[in-house]
Amino acid sequence: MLEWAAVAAYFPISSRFFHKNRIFFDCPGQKPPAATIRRWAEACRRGNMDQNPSIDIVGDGAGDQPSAAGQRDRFLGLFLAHQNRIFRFIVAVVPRGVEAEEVFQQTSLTLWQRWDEYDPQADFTAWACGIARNHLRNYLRKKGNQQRLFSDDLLEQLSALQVSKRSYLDELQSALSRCLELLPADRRRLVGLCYGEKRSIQDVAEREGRSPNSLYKLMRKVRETLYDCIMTAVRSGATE
Amino acid sequence: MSEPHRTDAVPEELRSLVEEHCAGTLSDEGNVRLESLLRESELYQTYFLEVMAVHAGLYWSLRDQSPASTPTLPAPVGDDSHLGTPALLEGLLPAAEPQTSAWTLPPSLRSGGWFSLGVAFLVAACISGVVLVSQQKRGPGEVPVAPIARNQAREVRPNEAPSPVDRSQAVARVDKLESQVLVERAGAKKPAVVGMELLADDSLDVPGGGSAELTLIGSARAKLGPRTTFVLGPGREGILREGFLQIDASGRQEGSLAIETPDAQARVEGARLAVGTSRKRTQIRVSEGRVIASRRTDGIEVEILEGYCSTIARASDPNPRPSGNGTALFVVSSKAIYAHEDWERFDQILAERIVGDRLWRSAMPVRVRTYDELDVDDFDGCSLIVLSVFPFKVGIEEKLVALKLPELSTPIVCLEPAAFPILGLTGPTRNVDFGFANGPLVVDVANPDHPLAAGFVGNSLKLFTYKKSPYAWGKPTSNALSIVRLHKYPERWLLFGYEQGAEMAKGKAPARRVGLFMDPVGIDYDTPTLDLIDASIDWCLDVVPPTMVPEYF
Repeated sequence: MLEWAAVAAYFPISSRFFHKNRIFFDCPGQKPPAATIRRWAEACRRGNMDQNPSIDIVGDGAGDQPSAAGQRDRFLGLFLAHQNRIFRFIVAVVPRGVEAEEVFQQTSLTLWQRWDEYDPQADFTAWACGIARNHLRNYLRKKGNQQRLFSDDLLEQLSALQVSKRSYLDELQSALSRCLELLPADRRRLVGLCYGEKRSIQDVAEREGRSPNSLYKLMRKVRETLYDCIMTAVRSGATE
Repeated sequence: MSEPHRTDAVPEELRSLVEEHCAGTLSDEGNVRLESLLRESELYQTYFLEVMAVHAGLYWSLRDQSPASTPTLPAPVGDDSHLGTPALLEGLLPAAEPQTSAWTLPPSLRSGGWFSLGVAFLVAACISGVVLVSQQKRGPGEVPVAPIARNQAREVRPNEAPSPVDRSQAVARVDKLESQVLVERAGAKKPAVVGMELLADDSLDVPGGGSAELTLIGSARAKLGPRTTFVLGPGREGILREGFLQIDASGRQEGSLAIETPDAQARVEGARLAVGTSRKRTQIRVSEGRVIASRRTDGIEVEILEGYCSTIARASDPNPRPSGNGTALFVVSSKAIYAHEDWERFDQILAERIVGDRLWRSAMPVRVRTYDELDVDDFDGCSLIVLSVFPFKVGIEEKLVALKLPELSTPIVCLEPAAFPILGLTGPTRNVDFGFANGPLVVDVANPDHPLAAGFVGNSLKLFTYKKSPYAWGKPTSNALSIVRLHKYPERWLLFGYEQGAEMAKGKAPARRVGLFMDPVGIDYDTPTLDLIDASIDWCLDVVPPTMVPEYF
């Protein structure tokens, strides 16, 4: 049986290439004819596969293509490692939690659906943020909030900056935990209501017997306190 | 990494605009002004991203926050080590809490306000929250732990001092890999490759859905299952921190292998065995030879012989019980073709992975097939078949009949209600014999003493999901062992089983059969409801369930 991994190692091409060139292994139980493999390999080496995309390899589907589980796990591995960064990018444009989650959910699904287009050599975060950008546009257009979206070029700049500074931004978020602990209990509770439960300011204000305006101000102070604390922690290197 | 900039270089106007952006109160004019400022310098853009990172981090880290509890701490981000323990799942897993005598659950599980719908398509499988406020399970005091009655159990003997071993010598070799397995050596991680020689203290991390096969010193073979961390020791020993390990040392006389888990130490003498470990318990199934295992907490030692298994955990009876050998066949429908537009289908894929991992951790080698791939040869050597949910009317129902699955004399756990009538578990009429609905899933445990109930006791329990989640039910015959039913519709059952030979709706049960609705949206790796899966597996394999201290307090 022709192992996918062996093929991929032998021929330095991506899964995208396989899909693009309609190289399918769709006859379970049959071994790929050696002559076909040689012909195809030769075409690969000569680099004329693009000109001759109809060369198909007949093989054992179970063994030759990456298994569904393998594909899934590779996707999940990358997705789980980068999900926070994708979410962070979305929140930068759509700051309300519920809306951001909706876009994130749509983005995640699209990432999975278009997984076969992903080039393993490419930066996953950049690829995912590109897809998220499209969803952000669609989402805000549907909501009639197109004007609230930054222009394409700025969005692209922010996306690129977000990707280039991801480790730094990761570190900021890592420092958040300690800073959150330092907040007084009543403020932590408010943060929990606004962020954890994603209640609206009006809702929380009513519940707490405050005016919405005072709560806005208080939450602003909380965010500023957290921001200052995080920056201090990062400067002092105390983010472990 | 970028050096943090001086924030006093950021104009107050920008600060205010970014704050309004965070608060969602930014006007259209403000938006235009914000964009204009951001275009001015990268410093401003960096400041903007910093503030928004804090804002996003708060949502991310507090996603399962309940009003009564204090904020949970955010998981570290951007760290590839999370491949093994997803960041998104981490906040949902029960945190270690002090043991209490009352049956309580961690706040993240008690909370009804889990990270509601969205943040993760992945954890949509978890988010809807297993609301277990009213759930009760037998506490440790209610059922006495069975005494260590058999003479296999005895005080552990002191180990002999190990002979010095050269740590630079290879102790294992990688033979086969599936998915990207990482090897950690001297603090650095790198991908494992076939043929790689492994040294003492090397740690292997197998991701979900992956596996690795090794040859150990002395030619014993080891297979690591998904979500497994295994550390090689010097000589013939290793530490299974988490996951699944299968050892084949049969017919070899090079001396014993020593395997450690968080709960147990095992000496393997020319045996074939499977070890599954999750938090707080280790299962060992021996299919050939014998294994001496000792419980780390008190040194109690048991001898596990061929055809037996033992669950080693605090306050459980470690005495070996008869065990089904062979492989579990897990039939899933997780092909991308079914996931293209159905959100829940994707949840299902993830849930299938969770259930699959759960099977591994029961120390059962698992063979996974999709319904499309399923062939009659797959049934060979199976001790158990678990059928996951599948999309209707794409020919799967006919295929199961064509494969004569209903007549198969292998125990089956069926998670797909549409397959209930095919297997003869219920009648064929939808909405009469089986059906689907939406709503709060409040259940009664009608037969709490049965092993299938997994220790759940009581009425009006919210075992599965909350809010309006889709669910399904079946109506078995009066010969069934009916365990869990809907509180509101007592004739609708969510968990039931048939003993071998029992009269079902269609024919006699050729082997034990279990019908179980396991909502793919409402489970995560440590949802207590998954105990019902474990119980179903154990019952089908005729394994007496251990008297356990429940894992979830």
